[in-house]
Amino acid sequence: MSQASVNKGQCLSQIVNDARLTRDNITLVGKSPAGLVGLFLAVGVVGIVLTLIGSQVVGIDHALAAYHVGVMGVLGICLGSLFWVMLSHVFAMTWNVALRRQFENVMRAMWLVLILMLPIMLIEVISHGVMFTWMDTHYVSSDPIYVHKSGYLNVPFFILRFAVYFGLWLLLIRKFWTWQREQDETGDRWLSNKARFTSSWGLLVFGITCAFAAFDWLMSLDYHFFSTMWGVYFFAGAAYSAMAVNILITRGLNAMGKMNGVVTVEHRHDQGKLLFAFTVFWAYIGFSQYFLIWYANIPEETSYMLARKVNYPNLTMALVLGHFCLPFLILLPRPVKRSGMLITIMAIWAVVIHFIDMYWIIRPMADAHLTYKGEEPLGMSVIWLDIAGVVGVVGIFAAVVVRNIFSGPLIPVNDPRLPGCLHHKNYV
Amino acid sequence: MSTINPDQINAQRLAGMRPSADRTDIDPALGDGSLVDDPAQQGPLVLNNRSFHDITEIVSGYSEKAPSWWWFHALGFAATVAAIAQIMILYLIITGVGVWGLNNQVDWAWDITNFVFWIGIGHAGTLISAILCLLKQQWRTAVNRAAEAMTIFAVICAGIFPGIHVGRVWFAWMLFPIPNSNMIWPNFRSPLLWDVFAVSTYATVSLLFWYMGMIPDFATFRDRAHLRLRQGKSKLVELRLPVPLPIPTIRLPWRGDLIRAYCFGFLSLGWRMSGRHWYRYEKAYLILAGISTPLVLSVHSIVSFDFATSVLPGWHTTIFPPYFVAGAVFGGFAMVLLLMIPLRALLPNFSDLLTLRHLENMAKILLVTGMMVGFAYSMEFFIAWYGGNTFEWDAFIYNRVTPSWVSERGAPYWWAYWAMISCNVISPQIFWFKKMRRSPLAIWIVGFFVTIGMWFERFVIIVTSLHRAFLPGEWHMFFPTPVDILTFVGSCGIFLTLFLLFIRFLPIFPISEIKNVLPGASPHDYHDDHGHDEAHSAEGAH
Repeated sequence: MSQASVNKGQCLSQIVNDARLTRDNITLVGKSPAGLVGLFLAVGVVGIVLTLIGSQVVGIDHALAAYHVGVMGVLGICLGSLFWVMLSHVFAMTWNVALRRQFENVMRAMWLVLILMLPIMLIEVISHGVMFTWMDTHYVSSDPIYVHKSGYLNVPFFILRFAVYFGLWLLLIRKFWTWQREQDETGDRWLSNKARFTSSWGLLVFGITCAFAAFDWLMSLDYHFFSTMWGVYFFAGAAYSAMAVNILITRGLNAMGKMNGVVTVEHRHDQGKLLFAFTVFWAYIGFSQYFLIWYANIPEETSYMLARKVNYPNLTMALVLGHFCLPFLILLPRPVKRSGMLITIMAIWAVVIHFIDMYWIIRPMADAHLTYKGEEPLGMSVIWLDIAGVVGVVGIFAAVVVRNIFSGPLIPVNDPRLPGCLHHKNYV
Repeated sequence: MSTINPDQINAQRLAGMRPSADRTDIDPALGDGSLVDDPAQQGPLVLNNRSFHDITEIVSGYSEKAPSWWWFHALGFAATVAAIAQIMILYLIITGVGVWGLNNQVDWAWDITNFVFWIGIGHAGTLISAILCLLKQQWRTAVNRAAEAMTIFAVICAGIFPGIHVGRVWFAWMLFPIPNSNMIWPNFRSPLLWDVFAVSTYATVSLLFWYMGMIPDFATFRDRAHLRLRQGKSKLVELRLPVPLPIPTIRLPWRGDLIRAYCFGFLSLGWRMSGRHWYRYEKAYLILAGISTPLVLSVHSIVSFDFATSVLPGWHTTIFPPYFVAGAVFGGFAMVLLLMIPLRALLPNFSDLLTLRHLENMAKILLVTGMMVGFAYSMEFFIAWYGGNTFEWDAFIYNRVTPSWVSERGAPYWWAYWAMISCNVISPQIFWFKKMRRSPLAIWIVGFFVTIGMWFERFVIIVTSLHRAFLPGEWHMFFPTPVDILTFVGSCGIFLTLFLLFIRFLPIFPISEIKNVLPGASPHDYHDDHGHDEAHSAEGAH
């Protein structure tokens, strides 16, 4: 008998004897995802159709910007989930084993983000840059700043990087998910160690690709602007929104009467703490970046902040208040983090503000292009289009995530650390 | 069965007269028994099945028993080195900052390098005591007290430099916004002033945290001294000579335990181990941990603002705040390892409380934070190029990276940059190998390199950015004078002296917190129901 199968026996016996781990409680067997998936798909399709209409009625710049906001938002949620999965493995976290499957269900939707990214890449490359103005070499070749950067900002290298990022992310996701599925079936607990080792270098790969992806798809929209903090800023929002989505999914499953006693108020409390922690972390990173640019007051950096502060003052204030001040004050008291209702509201708010953050980064560029062409910037007057673009992407993304959730057990049933997770208590 | 009473063996072990228990039953691949690769199990945090009483005996023993010879020698050496710093500072104050190697161009050099270096050293303590506490990382109990002590001592060392570098040290009070008859105020818009606030807040909170954590242990020390006095076991204070000489030992006419009972009685603030006291203590501990957590970030972020708010190439980059924080934690952990690993060998039973598992965890933190600073170095580099600012790029490529013997535009400080890269980024990479991060010697060596590398990091940031200004006519090298060097070396002496006094007189480990992580302390932990019971029964069968 191999060592793995002996250990499997030990592990399973602990798990099988637990009354909470009944088939009815930890799977969605007998429930059909069709209704929910259909609903989300319908919302998504309506959003996409409206965006397409907007591209004709309002203009391709704005439609594409709205769509880009949606895609970057879900990319952040996906990447954040991948981050949390790797973090759980690398720290050998016990308390969040029961939550990890929902992070995995979100990260597995990465293929969808790849597909959603393709139209952007295609339109940008074919039309020589709608949002990515640096792709229009005719327009930028007289710009010495672009000429200097052209070694990095050129279409072939841009596409190559796009392929490399997604290749690496999908590779990591595939590894983790294969091992998870295998562990679900065989109960081989040594797979946890494999996942742990892969996470260690995976986090390194993640850190670098996440930063450069943020440079490519967000920072290079304004190719004059640069900030060493940019990758960390994107990561902070990603981890924050991924935690919020995880809270929403677990709350939804609890509301369906699933995972009773498996995901309890104690887990919710810790999810709330991490949501709070990343509220502060995002604010720390965002403030440091803004503050250093403001204080040094160098034109090529300051113009970026100025464009947002002057043209979108309400949006900027919304970020300050909504991404930091209010959630900070609301999430600080313990009862809020333990209350199912309040934490759900805060999680919904966190997802919304994450998209507003992406909007704050991307959307002013659409107006900047209009101004450059000598037309009047539209500002917030076409907000319906912005909402349609985001809702379209989010709807389709949510449909895929719901399908993932329904596709298997709701927790890693044979994870060796599951018994510890079931006993998790905060005490104080 | 042997004829020796097992209690006697245990007593001898506790006194360090006997090595720890035989470990033949432990798989050699698992080191000292604290390392468990099985994902379903957690390794023990205290080895050799130590009881609650053993923990008290071991930790109190370090303070109550007469220190070994090595301690006197080390203290003598450290205090001598510390005295050099005092002499150098006195010389500086009498003569003026001209005794340092500063010049018109490099008007900030070793003074600020040392300041940032020492402030950074303290961060491991705050991280362990605050963030790891909030994250419920129980392994922190083995190092938190010593690391917190290092925080205090490092802040003391750091505080010296801003005070003395202003030239006229008798005006150092002007660092604080104190109303005065001349209506001269510090510049509130200067990060240097925020530094004063940040560092003094940090010092205050760290001191409170450190002190409050020690209160239950002080009470234990007090009660033990009191008990010995009542039982008549106390001895008179002996003045031991640093070298064995044939002179009769001088005995002072009072009992050491009386002094201990008074001092620790005063410090323990009437702690009576009552449930109410513990309840308040836990509350206060959590609140202080919550307050300290943003301080971990804020202090070094504001230190980084000193540089990053300016428009000097090499200084102005937005990643500085988190990069400085990661670097500070990195350097702090290196210092903790540098001092704690020798203590494992020098003090009896130390390795039961500070196991290979703890060392491995800290080695991993070194690897992670080392890569974080590596990430920041590469981001700075990439953006220096991507930003398209020639001066920024030149500051990196010519003033730092390119050796002077490769290109005539190359930097005379290339060796400092490469020392930083090899110590901070390359040397921790050996921790990818399990064997290396489980070897105290390897960890100690890396810790040593990292400490050097982190000093060089600050030197590189400060001096290489300053030594070449926009006009080549303003290019000057910085050469440290012996006063520069001896002041820094002396500050290490101050740090070491304080640390040696700490390990002699105060509880090095948090007695109550270590007891909390023993298997018997937590009836709800499922591991105790399974893993440790098996260990106990296996031990009982011997």
